[in-house]
Amino acid sequence: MAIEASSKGSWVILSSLLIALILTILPLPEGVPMGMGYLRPDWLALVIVYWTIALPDRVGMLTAFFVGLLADVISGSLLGLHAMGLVMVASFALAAYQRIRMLAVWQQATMVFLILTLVQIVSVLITVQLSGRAFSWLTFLIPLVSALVWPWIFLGLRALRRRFIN
Amino acid sequence: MKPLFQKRVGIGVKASGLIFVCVILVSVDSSTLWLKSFKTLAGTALEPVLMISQWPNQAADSFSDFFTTRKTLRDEIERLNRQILTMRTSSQKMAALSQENNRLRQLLGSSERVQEAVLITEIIGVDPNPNHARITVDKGTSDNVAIGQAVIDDRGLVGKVVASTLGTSTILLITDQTQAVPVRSLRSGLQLIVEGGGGFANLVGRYVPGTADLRVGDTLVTSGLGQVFPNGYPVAVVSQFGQSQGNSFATIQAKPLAHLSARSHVLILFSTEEMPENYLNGAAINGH
Repeated sequence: MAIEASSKGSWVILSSLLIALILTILPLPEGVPMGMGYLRPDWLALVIVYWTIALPDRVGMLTAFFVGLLADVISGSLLGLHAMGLVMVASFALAAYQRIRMLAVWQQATMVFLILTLVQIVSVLITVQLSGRAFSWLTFLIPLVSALVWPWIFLGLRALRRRFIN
Repeated sequence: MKPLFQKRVGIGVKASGLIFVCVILVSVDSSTLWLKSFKTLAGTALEPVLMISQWPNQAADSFSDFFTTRKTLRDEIERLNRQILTMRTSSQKMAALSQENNRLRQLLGSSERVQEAVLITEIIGVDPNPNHARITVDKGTSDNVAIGQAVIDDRGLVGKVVASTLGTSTILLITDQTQAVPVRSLRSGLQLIVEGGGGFANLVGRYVPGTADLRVGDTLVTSGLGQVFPNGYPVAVVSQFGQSQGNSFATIQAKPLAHLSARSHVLILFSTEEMPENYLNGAAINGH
């Protein structure tokens, strides 16, 4: 039974990842100050967290790795940077998925915040080390905004999952 | 279902393995160019995704265009025609001056200025990461765009091409923190290097002593040193020149001249040998 069900509704997962990818590179509208770039949620991480906890047998670290590589290529960053971040996010989510599933949505949001902050710290350290750019503390707003958006992602993707997968 | 604890051990191993691969990739990509062809290829394959991400903004633009009145368009056409007339008049003199300049240089034994031609491209994307100052334009390797080419707009230097796929190119702006431009002051000839301050902020001049001959309001143009940016293109205007106690170097800030934050067109510079054939007769506006 597990084998038959394993590819049903894959398009839902793939499209949600694709949309998250597009949202990641979506330019700010004209006239919006650059600083607003720090208020964007990390869509890819959020979508990966959801699918990892909902369908840990189908979406995991390998998916995160490949999606991360795509994100690196399309955003022109160092190859492997987003990949590493997403793999870390997926591994934390996988390690605790049973517990996260049990939590209420807002508690899950807190977990999401913690996971993303941790990953962001690692990411920033590596970027600063390797590209010599200064970084702004405002980058740590991103996990916060992402956690705030989590409930909608959770509810939305869960509705899709229930409708199209199981 | 697999037992809980067994799965946990598996995660750690797999995660470490993948992360290790990522670290290798990041290190390789940050210090060598080995991954460049992969990135170009993958970037070309992902161009449709890039195009899709432009739709919201393009839709918004078309929407506001739809409501432009005919009168506004007619006024705009008139204004542009007048501008063309003025510019044609000044460029008549340019051709003669350019020739005279080259003759004088020959007399002095210096090499001739390389003729430059431009390729007009449209900005189709801006890097949303606030720590990067990069834009994407709609011409790529299929138009002979290559990494390292300088990019200008009608007001001044914009940056240089750092990556190129088949149909798009990525340009690093002069205001990016990792970009530095060798310039000289038009008034005094003082040479210095200005670095990007990040985002769309001012450029910062480094390692210039406080006694140097530089004033607020000086225009800085490219000096051509380092063979990266061709000589003579306006870059910025000095907006701050000061010295604090205890600092042996002056604090210099310069405001870039190019329209770095507007969604518009930029020009990629080619020396005429590299220019794709079909553009030489049409779009080239410089030096012929």
